[in-house]
Amino acid sequence: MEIRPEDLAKILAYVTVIIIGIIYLFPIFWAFLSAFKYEADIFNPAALIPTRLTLQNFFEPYFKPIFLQWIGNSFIVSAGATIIVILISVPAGHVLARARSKSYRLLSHILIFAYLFPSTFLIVGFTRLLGTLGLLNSYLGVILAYVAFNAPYVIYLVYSYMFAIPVELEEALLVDGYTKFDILKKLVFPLSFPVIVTGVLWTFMQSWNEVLYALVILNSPELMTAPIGMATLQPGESITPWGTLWAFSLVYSIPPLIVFYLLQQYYITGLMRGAIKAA
Amino acid sequence: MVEVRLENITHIYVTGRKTQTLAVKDINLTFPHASFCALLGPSGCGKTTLMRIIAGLNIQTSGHVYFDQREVTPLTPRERNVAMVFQFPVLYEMNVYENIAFPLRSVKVPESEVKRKVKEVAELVGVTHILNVHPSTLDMGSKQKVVLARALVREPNVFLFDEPLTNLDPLGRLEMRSKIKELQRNIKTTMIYVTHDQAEALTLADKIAVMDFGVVVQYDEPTKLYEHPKNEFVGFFLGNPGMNFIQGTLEDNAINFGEFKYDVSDVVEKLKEYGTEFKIGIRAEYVKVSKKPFKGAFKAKCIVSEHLGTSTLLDLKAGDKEFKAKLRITDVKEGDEVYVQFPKEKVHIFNKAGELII
Amino acid sequence: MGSEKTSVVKGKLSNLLSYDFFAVLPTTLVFVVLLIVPLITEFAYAFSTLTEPFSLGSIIFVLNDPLYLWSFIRTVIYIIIDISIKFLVGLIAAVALRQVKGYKILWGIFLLPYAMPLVPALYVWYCLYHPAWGLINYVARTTGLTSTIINFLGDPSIALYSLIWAHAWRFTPLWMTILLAGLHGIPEEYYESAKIDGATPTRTFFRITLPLIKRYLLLNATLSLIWTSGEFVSIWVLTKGGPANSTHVLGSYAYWYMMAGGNFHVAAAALVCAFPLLLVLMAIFFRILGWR
Repeated sequence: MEIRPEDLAKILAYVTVIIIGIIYLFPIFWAFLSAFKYEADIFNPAALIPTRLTLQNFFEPYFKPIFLQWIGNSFIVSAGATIIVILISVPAGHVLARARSKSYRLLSHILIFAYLFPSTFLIVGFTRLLGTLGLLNSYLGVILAYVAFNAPYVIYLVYSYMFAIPVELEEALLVDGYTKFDILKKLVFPLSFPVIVTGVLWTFMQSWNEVLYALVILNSPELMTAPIGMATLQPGESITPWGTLWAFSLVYSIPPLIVFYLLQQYYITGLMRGAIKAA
Repeated sequence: MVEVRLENITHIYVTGRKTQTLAVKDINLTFPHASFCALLGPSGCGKTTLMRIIAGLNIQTSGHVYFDQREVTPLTPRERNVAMVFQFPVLYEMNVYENIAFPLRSVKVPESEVKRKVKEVAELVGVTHILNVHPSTLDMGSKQKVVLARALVREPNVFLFDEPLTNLDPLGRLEMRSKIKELQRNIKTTMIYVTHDQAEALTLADKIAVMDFGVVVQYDEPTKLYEHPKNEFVGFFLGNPGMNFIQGTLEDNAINFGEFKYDVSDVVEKLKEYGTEFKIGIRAEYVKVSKKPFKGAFKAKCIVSEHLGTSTLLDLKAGDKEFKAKLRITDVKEGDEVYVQFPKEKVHIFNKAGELII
Repeated sequence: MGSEKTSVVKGKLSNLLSYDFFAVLPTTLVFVVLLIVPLITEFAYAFSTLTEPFSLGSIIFVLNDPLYLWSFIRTVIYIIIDISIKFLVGLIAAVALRQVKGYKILWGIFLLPYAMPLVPALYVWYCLYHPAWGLINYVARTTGLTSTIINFLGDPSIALYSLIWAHAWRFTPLWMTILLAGLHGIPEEYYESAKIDGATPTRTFFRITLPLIKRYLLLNATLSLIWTSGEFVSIWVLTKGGPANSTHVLGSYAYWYMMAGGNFHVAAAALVCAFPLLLVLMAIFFRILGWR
């Protein structure tokens, strides 16, 4: 039997996909399945494929109400940061893109510099500033952090995107007597929909996952975001039931998974646009 | 250079899960060796598909492709030794020398050979001075030259052009056209040229295969296609403007168009076999127009008059029949009444479906 | 007539000025108050100690602290191995995926490790790595690959690499997407031309495909290096810097001194001393950005 090189490539491709599938999907599958297992079964190799399942991990006494509060906090903080970021980024990105005088390249370089800089390296300065402002241990403090560290990237996204929208559209409206604010509302926001979606996705996901700043800023258990709260359960010591942890994780994962999969189309298109520009 | 022969080529594309598109149907064509042939037709007619089948990029669903006497269907594009020029200059991320050397290196030609051949071809095409340059810095014209060089370095059997002039500005187009013609003269290789621009095909090709909806409508020399189109499609597609087609009814010994008639007494017996509805075809430049009446002429009104530099294009209307006439400079204006005649030797008669009878 | 015109223009000008001004104002405020001020504050803290306001004491301490130096080195190791894994596996995945039917759906599924939140993703590996009841050890022992227990997170010589793997694992799907997007931007004609020129798929890939997206790939790679240099979560969640301080990186070092050690100055100094690394990486980024 003759095997042509194309066929060999196809077989290799399928095998690779299966192997990668196992390495990248199986652990997640195992982990989330554990949310539905009895505690004893989770680490029991014999019960890898469970014979019995339970929902007990999702209810008391395992699932504490504070878990929901933590998830709620994550939500408040992420949504808050996202809204603020979009509100300040779209007008700014738009105006910066239209600025004809001065060196707009310098401006874009500053933006790039700002979003390149890893947030970790400002932890001391930022939190001390919050301390001086009395914003430690508050939602606002965390939201400000998330705004500060995500806005530059979103502004840059909007800024790049604006170049694809012809200035003539706005000029025509201006000539017709519309104010610039009207233009923003009626033209800029609707037309920038794809990049706004990307910005929302980005900010929300970054904020939902963030640990360092939430850890340093928030001290009271009631205010903690989910990842921090999760860590206080001290998994790793045999104190914590892992089943509970996985149930909590599952619930904690639902909002971002929904947001991500709903909006991934835009994210990928956004990446493609960036790719075509750069390639 | 080889003779390319297509035998009963049919190709069906499978696009979706259940959707199939018939791209070309039962094509039989022979492109003589060292000839320059064009595949001409509107978008979707199958010309690009046919070219890709010749190249080996697509394998036809059924039928055979022969280079001289050899069936090339099982061969890869490289094994067929075809060269292809695309719509935009496809240049790799390496300097010009490396680009040209690429096909030779891909089949493990010894380095000394490579050097010799690249230098040879570079001289032929005129890129010796930019061999060390990265293509991104070159202008369009030079880029296309490098593409040609890379194609030539393999001494291909067949040269394939896929609408290479479409993306050029008018000036660039004229330049490239003359360059291709020059190439054709210098290198005796079979060339097959795909285009939707009939002027391009008429100027460049020795033979043109006019295609529509996946079939070859007529395959002939440009003059024959122009003067004796087999059907309405060919007549209208070629020429600028296309051939005039006017529909009328056979009555007594003439075809009646309402306001005027065309005498067919010499062929009326033959015409009767095809029914009563006919179309006559005549090219705009052969329509005789005069401001003063003359024998055999009928009256028509000028609706539009366009000056095109050395000639004038007139839209004429007689009754409800419209047609165009192309004349040298004339002072016929819009609204003028003129006298028109269709010279018999330039008129073709088509049946209702548009097929040539006379 | 003339004065009417100028007043209209002037009106428009002032309209322009004020709108543009307010449009950019919040951003400028955020930039200055939330980024510049903290930066200055951090420098202030770095160049002072618990006892003296203007001193190089913290900096000297940090530069002489072997733990700091090792943290710095480990950070560099971390970011290099991290991008290597992401790039290689992502590339293999992207190339394989393109050949396979239904690749759009598979792509979405493969994004799962990236779509799910970071902390649970890390805990997954905590469980898998566990010496006593982790699946990896179980499989390794039952299939006879090893006879001893591999203590992924407890063995100082391999703990860092276990962390890096978990982190890279989580971000590989992102890189797969980046690569797929990049490959997608290449016109089909390049592949056809390569076929006609007789290049094998491998040769086509390395000599034609990759060079075409070189700038795009390098930009993303540098971005990864920069952003990962601030890595904190994976260390803190999985090992907290241990065992025996063998997994401390810049971020965790600074955090430890800030929260456990109660010394903001040392923490700030630790971060500030790493700025040169950041600046070098950013310079590389800007250099590549300027290509073409």
